[in-house]
Amino acid sequence: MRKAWIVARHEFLVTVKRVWFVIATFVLPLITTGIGLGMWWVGHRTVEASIQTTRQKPLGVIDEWGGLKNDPPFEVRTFTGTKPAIEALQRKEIGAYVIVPPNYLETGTVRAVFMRLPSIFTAQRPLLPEGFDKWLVGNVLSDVDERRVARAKAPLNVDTTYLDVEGLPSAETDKTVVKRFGTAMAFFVLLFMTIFTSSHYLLQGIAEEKENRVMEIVLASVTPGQLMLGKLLGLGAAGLLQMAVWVMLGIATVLALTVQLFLTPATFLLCLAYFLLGYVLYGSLMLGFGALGTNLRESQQLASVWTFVAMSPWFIQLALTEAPQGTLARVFSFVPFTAPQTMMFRYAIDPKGTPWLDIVISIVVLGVSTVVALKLSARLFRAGLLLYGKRPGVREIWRWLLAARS
Amino acid sequence: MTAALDVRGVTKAYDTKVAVDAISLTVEPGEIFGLLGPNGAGKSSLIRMVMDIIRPDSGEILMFGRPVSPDAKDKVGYLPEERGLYQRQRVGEILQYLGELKGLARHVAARRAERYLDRVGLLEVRRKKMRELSKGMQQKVQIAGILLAEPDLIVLDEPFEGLDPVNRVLVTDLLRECSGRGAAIVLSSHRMDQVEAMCRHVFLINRGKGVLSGAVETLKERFADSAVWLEADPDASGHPLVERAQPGGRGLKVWLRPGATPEQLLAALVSGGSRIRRFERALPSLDDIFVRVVGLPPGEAPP
Repeated sequence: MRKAWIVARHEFLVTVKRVWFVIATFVLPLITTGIGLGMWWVGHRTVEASIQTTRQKPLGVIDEWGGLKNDPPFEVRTFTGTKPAIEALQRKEIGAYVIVPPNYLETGTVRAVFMRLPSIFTAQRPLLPEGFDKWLVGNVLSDVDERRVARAKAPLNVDTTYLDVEGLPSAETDKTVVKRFGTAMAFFVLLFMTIFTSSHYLLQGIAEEKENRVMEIVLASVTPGQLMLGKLLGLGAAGLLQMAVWVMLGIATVLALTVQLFLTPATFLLCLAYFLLGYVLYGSLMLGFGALGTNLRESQQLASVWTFVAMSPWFIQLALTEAPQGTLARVFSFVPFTAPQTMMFRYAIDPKGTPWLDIVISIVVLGVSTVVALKLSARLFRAGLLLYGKRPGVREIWRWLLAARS
Repeated sequence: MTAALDVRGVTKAYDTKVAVDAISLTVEPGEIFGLLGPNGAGKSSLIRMVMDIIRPDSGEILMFGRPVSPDAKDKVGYLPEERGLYQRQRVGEILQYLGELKGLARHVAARRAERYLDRVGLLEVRRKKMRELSKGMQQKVQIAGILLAEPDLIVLDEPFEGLDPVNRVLVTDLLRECSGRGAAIVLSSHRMDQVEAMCRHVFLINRGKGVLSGAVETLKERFADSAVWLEADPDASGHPLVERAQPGGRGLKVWLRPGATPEQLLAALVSGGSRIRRFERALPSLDDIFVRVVGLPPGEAPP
């Protein structure tokens, strides 16, 4: 273990001291976030300014229906024909005018006239003054009592209560569920991105050692297992560091602003356990397969199969959210390749409903699979390390996997 | 005394090709042992098995009386044939790392790295990156990296490849020093002159099989023709005891007739009044022996 630790420290320090690591970790996210935010801000301001120039001016109204009796909550100029209304638009005295036609009650259609170009952003938002629709409702129902008018304007305001299995009101609300979903997604994305980022460093490390012919010198001092574990820990730590910095620099801020997380100590610890086991499982598989390539590109191709496997639970996230204790969710929890992602999701969404037995089974399955993956990968790693220039066939790989010792 | 390395009947096959076939050899502490063989003979496979990088199909390898283990590797220095070091890292840091991997404490590894860089005359490049060094310098850094752990068994696969004559002498001296303090050295090479100059024992491997082994001097005696190097006046090529003669680097090489001995020729020349400047038994070089043995058809035993 001591040697694996020496390898890990060496790999970590060498990686984090590289200029490109520093640039990719600190400078790139700042630049991309800065440019992204700046562009968004400029664009947003342009759209807002464009909308406000229309909405802040009085609204021209041509009432052909004759039912607009109530006072509007915004400034209005009434016209009797389109010609003066167009002239007022040209003089920029009004932002727009509307024609409420005689058959408004039958069709509900109101014609709105603007003197501007349509745009994709303004098309999504009504350019008419705030409260225009409610003013129309008030006019339609002018002879109905006020409370009924209010209900017509806002007919549904749901106050939900969820009962637990004992029939007592549960502490869960719709808001906490949204937070739980955010938490589940955050862990899922974090695990996937860490596997993805670290695998790049892992494969680069292996390819470099092969290209430099340094592998055999190192193997004269450490076992392939120690070398693999050391690389997994050292380069994994470098990948984690990069992720942590990225999260802190930008992603976390955005996530925190839009999605609030629901994180109890139990959720955090359990998710951390699944996260680490998942990382070691996938990292070792990627290293084992990556070692079979003769250069970085080939190693990446060989290892990429695990990226797809790691991503697979993403496609059932709807089922996981809707039925976290359903059959599909449980099956995915006991398959080692999908267990970490699925269980993190299930527990974050429904901590009380997740049976302890499921957690124990999935951790045992995952733990055993991780040990097996480490051993099998060490065999591939050992066999693949000394391959220069020749990619092994499937039969050869199979023979290595069956080799008696690793 | 426990042998530093004891290889017992080791066999390794790749698919149908037998790379190493029932090889046995012993290397004692303090001995410089030459492992010879043409390209593809199985030297590197044998060495990789000794280093526990590949595993034998059968047979046993003992280091200092024990089966090869990860701990035993700390006492072994290894220079593989396929070699290189991290090109983008600094020389001093690489050597320190290699020392640590051999079980040295961090500060000890750092100190030894400086000492051994100094020994190979490269102390001033310790802060340079590996890729800034010439091929010969890189080779010396690799050798320093092996010796700094002061191993008890040193396995070197073609260590003189890429070194100029001055550096060959430097490395030879360093290795002799290691042997002097008791380290066993296994030298795999096809540079016969170097092996002959350094090794007391050699082992010749061809097509995976051990075809010849023993002390260098004994082997030379075994392969010696009945011939002498002669510088005499008058020329003895027509002497009745001489079968044939051929000029060479050390004068005239003279083959004796069957039954004649060098002593008889010397006595006859002296009594005949010849002036003799050189009279020396003509022993074959390792190169000659190598060519003779390796040139034999498969299955035929050497003399």
